[in-house]
Amino acid sequence: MNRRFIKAIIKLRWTIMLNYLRHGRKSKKRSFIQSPFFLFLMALIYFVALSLFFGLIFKRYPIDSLMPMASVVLTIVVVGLILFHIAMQEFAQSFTRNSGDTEFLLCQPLTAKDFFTGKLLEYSFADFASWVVVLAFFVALTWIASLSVLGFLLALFGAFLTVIFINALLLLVEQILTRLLKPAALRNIRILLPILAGAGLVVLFIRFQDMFSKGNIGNLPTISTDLLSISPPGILVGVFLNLGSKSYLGMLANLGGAILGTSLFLTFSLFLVEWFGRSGWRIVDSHLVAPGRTVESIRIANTGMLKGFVKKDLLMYLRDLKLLFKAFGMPIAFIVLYLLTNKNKKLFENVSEQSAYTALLIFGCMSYIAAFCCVRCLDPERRAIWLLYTFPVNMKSILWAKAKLWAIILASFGLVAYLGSAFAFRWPPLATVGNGVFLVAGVFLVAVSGVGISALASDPTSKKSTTINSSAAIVFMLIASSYALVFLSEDWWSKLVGSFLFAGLTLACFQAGSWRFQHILDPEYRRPTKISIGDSLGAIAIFFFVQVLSSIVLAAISPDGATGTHYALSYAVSGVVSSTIVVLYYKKRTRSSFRVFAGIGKTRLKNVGLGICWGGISAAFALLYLFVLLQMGLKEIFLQHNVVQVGVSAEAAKWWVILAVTVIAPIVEEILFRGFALSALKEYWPRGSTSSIVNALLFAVVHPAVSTIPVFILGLIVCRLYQRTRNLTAPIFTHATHNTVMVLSGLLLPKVMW
Amino acid sequence: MIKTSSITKRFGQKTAVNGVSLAVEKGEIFGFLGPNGAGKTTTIRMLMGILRPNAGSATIENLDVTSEAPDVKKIVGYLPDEPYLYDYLRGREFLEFLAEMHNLSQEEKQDRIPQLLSRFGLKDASEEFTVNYSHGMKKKLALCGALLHDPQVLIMDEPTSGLDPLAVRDFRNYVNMLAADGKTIFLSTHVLDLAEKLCNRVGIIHEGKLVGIGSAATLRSDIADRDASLEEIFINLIQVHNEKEKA
Repeated sequence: MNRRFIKAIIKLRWTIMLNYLRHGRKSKKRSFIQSPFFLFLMALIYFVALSLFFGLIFKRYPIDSLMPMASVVLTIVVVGLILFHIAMQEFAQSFTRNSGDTEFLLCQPLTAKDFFTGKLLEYSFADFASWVVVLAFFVALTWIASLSVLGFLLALFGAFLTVIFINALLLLVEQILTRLLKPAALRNIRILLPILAGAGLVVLFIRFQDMFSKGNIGNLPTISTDLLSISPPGILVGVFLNLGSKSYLGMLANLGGAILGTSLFLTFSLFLVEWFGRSGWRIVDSHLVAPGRTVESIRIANTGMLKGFVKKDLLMYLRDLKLLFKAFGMPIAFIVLYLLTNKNKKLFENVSEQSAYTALLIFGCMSYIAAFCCVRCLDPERRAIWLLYTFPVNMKSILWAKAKLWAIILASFGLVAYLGSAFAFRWPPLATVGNGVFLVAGVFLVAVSGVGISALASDPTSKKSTTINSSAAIVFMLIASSYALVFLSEDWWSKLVGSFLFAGLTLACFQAGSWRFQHILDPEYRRPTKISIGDSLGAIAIFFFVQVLSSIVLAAISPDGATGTHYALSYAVSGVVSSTIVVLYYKKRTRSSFRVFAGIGKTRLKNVGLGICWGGISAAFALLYLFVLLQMGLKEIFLQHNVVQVGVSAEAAKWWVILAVTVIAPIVEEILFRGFALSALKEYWPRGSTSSIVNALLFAVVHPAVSTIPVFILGLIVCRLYQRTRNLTAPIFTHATHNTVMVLSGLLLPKVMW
Repeated sequence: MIKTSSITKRFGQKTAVNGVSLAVEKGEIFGFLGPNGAGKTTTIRMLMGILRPNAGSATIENLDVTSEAPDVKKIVGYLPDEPYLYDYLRGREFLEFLAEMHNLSQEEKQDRIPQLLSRFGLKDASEEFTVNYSHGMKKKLALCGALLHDPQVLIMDEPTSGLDPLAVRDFRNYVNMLAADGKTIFLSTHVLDLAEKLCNRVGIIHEGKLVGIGSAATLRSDIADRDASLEEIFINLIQVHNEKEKA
């Protein structure tokens, strides 16, 4: 690349950013957060933060408590942001492409009359309020598990008051501002929100610093509780608790925090709407500038329609015995199975005694019931689709309103499941406020993806009777369970696996759902044949899921077996299963052979040599990196490198692990990450370098934190090789060489150095 | 009034409706005739916004059926050829659901639902699940639904199929009454007897193309046979079209 080119790129990005800042919604160009530059910036921040974390913090505090924490937080943040970015982009695009409908977005005008007459739920703005209600519910009810009955009552009361408080505050501000200011001036008011939000961040920072100085950071639930305590519902709870103990200063502090927290929350959601929905400020404008303006179609879609659908669907579901049996049969079978295994402790000792799995099971069963109803939400309309076309609302609003309705119903089912498991087992992480909040957000997301599946499974326009079956609900249950895995499991690896499973499946369902919606709206719409992000993440998710499943089964079959053997076996099984599924799916989807896509079969000796050479180079870099860590006196970190660990461990089964690491891992991971994910990323970022960086980043974050940077470099190298040779041979050999060198160094180095 | 201008719909290679242009005046009963698979249902589905036309456009009371669909639905009642209903809803509940969808007030609901049910002889069956209804009863219930919000325009696809002779007679009387009220009625049928007795004007569609349009009298003069029944006109027009195609 020459300098002129780089300069041109920088200029272009800068112009886009300036245009965006100047004209906001007027600019048709991609916004900053949607640009590859943003992702690059994220990557940069990630690595700087990582280095700082390792370099500075680790010297001060015991590594054991910090290590999992650091990797979990950083990886989840980065992966989450990227995934969210992609998912929202895809989602927003598919829904706004045709008519620019915005009714699924958050804010709509609200008047004082509506507020007091209880017509709140008529408006989409009230979606926001109802989110807060649900959130508050969770906060309040989770309090039961952790505190006392009194605490619960206070929390419940506080949560409801908070909702009213927030709405009243918004309304008041809105009314005052519209009376005092001209519309043009009013628009500038929004600048206040980020300022307040900034203040909120400072508060947050101070609290975190406080925790750092006490050395109390190893506990994720503590942090989420603390995060929550500056959010509105948490604060009102705090206000009431402080009132009870007559600590008025604390009460004032809480109230101050409430305003800051609300601004933070609002700013965040508004920015999300702006960036991802591309029409956010228009909504903000209508919210602030023209309160009381009614949007006819939205109103109809949200009131009469929802009431009508609730009544109709519930009546139909309750009367259909076959359906009831289907919905409850499966969970009952699950519970019977659980009771049986619980009795026969010898066989399932390792599994059944872990309350996490029990909680997971309950969560899964409950969500199945809900999922079943949710998944069916569009099914009754399938044959009677003609009827929907006779209603005076556009089709998209109807479908979306219905989907939203069932998503909310599912979220409340999630609450029951969550409470049930919390009560039944009093398992400490379940009983924390933070997890509850994360859970509700997740359940909602799950619900939306469930609607995606439902849309996938039922094709209203098709004359073929595509019957809804339980398999859709099972996919759904997987999503719910993976979400639970993220927040119920204690070790960071399970969390990571869970989040990947969750993200992958959710995204895949989003995608499937949006295709199906497109198809309902336009019967001639054909889904794209190219591999998408959802596909590739779904593939990676399948890989992790099979791995988790097989390791659980292995643990149950031979509890005394060596963990190394288990690891290697489960890795091999998941690798084979996921690769097979991926290949079959690919063939079906693109109607072309897998060989064409992966370049397998055109193995050339040159590529093998190329692969080995580059593998050596990346391994050399990795070793150098580890040496630097050693020189910094971080021997413990060095030893945590999982490949090095293989060499150090005295376990007899290590040869199994070595086999998995040096042979199976390169093949499977290259197929999934290069063959699948890179092809998908290229759809979004056609430039090779950008898609490579994103791919390498994804590849890096699924590895242990200590090897993130070397793996990132390895990822860049193999991406380049794949793009140059159009063949997986070179990447596979590079990867294998890299891993072999690392294992060898793990075998030899400790003997040389210690 | 209903107006289509060169409306066209293709399904893959097949052209189901090929540039159909017609206009139906207010208060008119228009019959849309054609053999099976001629494109009647496809045209009606395009009018209802269920299918998007590949070319051309259609308006109802000067509202575009695609871009202004929600407004169109306020003034249009629709009866499909195969009225699938929700199985586990009672007849009354079905109409109540529809009323809520059309944002009818409580009074309107209580006023119209029993009225419509008794007019079509469904009063006794109103508490029965629709899954147990006969085909004719389903059709009647769907017709009740189409008339529930008092539409200006009524679009019906094969309205009399599956109805017994008595019900057909009732239906005819009812449609005449509606037309007298100034409502526009567009119905498709292949029962020529019905069209002859009921419609002011007919349009004949064959293989996606409109081969003839006008009152029975005009069509008769077109084929220069003063005593021809509608059936004869129909067969004649189709034969002429087929010969043209061959040539």
